[in-house]
Amino acid sequence: MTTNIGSTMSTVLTLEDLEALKQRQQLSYAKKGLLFGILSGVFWGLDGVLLGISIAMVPFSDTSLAIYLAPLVGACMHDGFAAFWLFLYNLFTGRSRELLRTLRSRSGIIVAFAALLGGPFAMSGYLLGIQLAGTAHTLAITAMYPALGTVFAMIFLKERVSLRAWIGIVTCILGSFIVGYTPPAGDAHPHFYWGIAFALLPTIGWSLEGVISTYVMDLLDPQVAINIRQGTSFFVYLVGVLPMIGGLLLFKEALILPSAQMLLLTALAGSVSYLFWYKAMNMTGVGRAMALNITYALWSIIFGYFLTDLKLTTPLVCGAVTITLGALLVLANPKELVNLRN
Amino acid sequence: MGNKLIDMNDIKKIMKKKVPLRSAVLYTLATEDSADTTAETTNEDVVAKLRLIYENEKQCSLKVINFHLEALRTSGLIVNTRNTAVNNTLVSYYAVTEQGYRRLKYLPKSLMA
Repeated sequence: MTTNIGSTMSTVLTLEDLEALKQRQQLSYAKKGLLFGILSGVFWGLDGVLLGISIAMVPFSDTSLAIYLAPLVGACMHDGFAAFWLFLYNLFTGRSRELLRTLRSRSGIIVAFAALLGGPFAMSGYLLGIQLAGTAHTLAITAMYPALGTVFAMIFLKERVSLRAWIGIVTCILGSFIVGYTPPAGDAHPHFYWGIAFALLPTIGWSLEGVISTYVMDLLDPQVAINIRQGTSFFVYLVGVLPMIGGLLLFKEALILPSAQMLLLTALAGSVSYLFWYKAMNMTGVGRAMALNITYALWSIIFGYFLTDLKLTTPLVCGAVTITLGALLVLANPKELVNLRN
Repeated sequence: MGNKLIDMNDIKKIMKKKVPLRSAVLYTLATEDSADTTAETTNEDVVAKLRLIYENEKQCSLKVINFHLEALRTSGLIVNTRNTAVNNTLVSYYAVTEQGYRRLKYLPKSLMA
């Protein structure tokens, strides 16, 4: 790496000076990775609030639609628009040819496979989990994905995670659980255990997506990898998931209504979030990036308060404080991140 | 000569065709003798070699290559062997680790024909 030393060149640099300069560079890289992790959470919080507004618009708001149809059509449009924004980004940063190169490489194909796990596979499981077991249990199980991702990263990537970072990850999970928890409603779910099984799919899908993508990003640019991820996800929703659930008509209808413009804007926040998430996983490791990403629960309260009629309740505030404490524990010592793996 | 984990001819074949830039950075740092971790290259050498292949692509800049080098280093695929100061700049030397050589074995199939 080359750094302009400037005025310091008037004196002779010792070996120690050079080492110190290099360490400063490496630390700056690690801090940037942590900042990207936080920003991925901020933009995912904004994305969630905007997505809520979009799904409340016509035609998604039609109550005659099955509970899973509107979110899946929304997810398809969201990922398609996000792929479009990311393509523009890569075009203007001189990476358009890199996209084709990556697509024809084995690493690119693996990214596409990871996209299936984190996209349609996880999302379908999430929605079925909510339908069959209820929001509270599904959320509690899916909130565990950073912990599972960290375990996978320790096993497959030999990632180093200190005890303090582990405590931070678990605290963040606890906080996001407190924010989203609503008491289960009695015997309303006759297929409860099926719902629990489906809720495990997104937990496994998201954590595996992170670990697999991080592994292949050792040899790929994260900015290109995320473009392939979103493009693949959109394609599979469009040609696989939507025809299967009869969602193509709703998709066509939604494209010509103002909800599409709202989703286009939402996807801009989503693409920024995903871009930062992939960069953070590459720069700071899977566990920390995932823990910082789920701080979105905190940011969605802030955005929800200003952009919607969200009322601040005790669980929301307690959850937000818990997430902040967890994130601080994860962020505490960037020096640990100079070398990520054993 | 040490243990050969990868054939140099494969690397040359790969480098003729364009692969994703970060992979190319690792290929560029690779040497004939994979056990020779003293064989080091500076980031400026990497940029110079890659510009011959990627020509005027905007992404083939010193800033982007430095980002890729740092990512490869934190992942343990390369190591920063030493640092020097040349013409007002800090120049760092890198060498591929054994783990890095192992990853080079996973060359894109389509380019191996």
